[in-house]
Amino acid sequence: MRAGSMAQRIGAVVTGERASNLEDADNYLVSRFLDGDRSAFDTLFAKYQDYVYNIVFGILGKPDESQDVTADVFVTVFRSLKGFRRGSRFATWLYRIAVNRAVDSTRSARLRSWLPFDDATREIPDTADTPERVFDKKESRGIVQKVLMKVPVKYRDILVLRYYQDLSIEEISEVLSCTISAAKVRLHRARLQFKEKYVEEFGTDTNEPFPMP
Amino acid sequence: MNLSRCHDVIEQLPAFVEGELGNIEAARVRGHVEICRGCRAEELQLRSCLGTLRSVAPISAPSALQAKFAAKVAKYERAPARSFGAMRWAASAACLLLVIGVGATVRNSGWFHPQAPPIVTNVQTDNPSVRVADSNPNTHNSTINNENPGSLPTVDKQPLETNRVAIIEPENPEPIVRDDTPRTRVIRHRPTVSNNASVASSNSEFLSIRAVDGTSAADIIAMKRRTGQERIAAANYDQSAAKAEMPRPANIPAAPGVKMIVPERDEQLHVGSSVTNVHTETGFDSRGEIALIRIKTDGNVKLDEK
Repeated sequence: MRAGSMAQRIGAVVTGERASNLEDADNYLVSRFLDGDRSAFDTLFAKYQDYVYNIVFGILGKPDESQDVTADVFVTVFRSLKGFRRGSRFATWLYRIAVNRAVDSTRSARLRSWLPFDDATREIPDTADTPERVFDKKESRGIVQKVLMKVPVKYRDILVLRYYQDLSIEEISEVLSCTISAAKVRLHRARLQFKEKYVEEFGTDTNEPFPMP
Repeated sequence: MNLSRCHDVIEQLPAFVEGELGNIEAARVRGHVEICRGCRAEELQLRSCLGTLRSVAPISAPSALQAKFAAKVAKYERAPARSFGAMRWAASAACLLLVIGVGATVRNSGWFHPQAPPIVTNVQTDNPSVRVADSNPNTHNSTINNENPGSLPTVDKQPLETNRVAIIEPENPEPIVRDDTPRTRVIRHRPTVSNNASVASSNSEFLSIRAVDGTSAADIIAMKRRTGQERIAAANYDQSAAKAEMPRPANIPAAPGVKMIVPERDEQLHVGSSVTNVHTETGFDSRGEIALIRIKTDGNVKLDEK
């Protein structure tokens, strides 16, 4: 599991029983909030704000817009938590709202036509990283975001979920409300799209030894 | 190069690069890319770009996000009461305007049917056309003379008892024009002149209650009317004090056959030199039309024996 995966960032390895415990913890917080405990929502917000922001930013690519939409996502959750089916996974539901809001935002604002890509690299660095690593990460973030913004939105969201959020194909299918097969096909096409745009942007510098037959 | 095989392999390359293929399929693809220059280049490109994509570190949400969220939540929590209230008032105003407009149109067009469901009006008095709804069977009912419409009704000289209720069924009920709007059921009654000489009138959507003659303070007919015409038979009747206008009750029953009683406000009626307290209740049938109007008095009524 990569360093920035969802599970690690919340301080746990999501495997088996632990994953179930995390869901239980979310459902417990949801229950407390529905029982009138506002602080439970604050906890949920603190826990998920980075994930939601990463999804939204990955799709929108613009910090200010992403911040606005992320806040809107949490307001939507705050308003509609009463309709949340207890027993379903809170994170999946939250990510679905985030993806939908971000995609809606790209459609309404037509951001793709005038996105200032420079903003995409303006993130807050991880203070635990060395300066070199920070530079590399900023660089790769800028590159990836620049390419992502050239990928159609319908592929961008699944790439964000898969590579930014490290969701499994099953989780992605839940978030995008599609079948696993459909998610696989979409992810496949998204990868090819990303590769195509990446090559368009940076050429085909692979520098790998090529063993001839 | 086997083009069909290359095509198959390239299709599987993303999953291969991501390690999502099964062992057999992965071995087949691996074996092909080791001997195929084009597919090998394709694989390297995929590894490069997907590796870059995977290496992207997550970013932290801006510190201002929480404040922005808190501001939006606060705005949301303030907004509903205002907006719902405004919407409710706007909807009420729109309905009222619609009712008035439709009513004026209907009235001007003369679209009144000669036959209409009877209006049953409860009045605490006796009348040949009166149904007595009295909880005390021993109470005595006064009688209104219907034979001579021009004269004032005659009544027994026994005072009315407390909380007696009588029901007057008008002999010639006027037609009812009803507008069924999507959200508000509007009822209009033509003025009914009963033999005890009463006309109630009001401005459009208000019920009017008037004491109608001096023979009994309980001889009151209330109805909803918009004509502005009125005719008061009581000679010494204090109209200004007796008139009471009240909004049409909003909770019109919807269940079939229900006669829902909606209490109206209490009022004082001045009849001659006496004053009586009157409590009025309006009953609606299942169509939301006024089925009866029940009027109770406190019994402190001096009868006028004209």
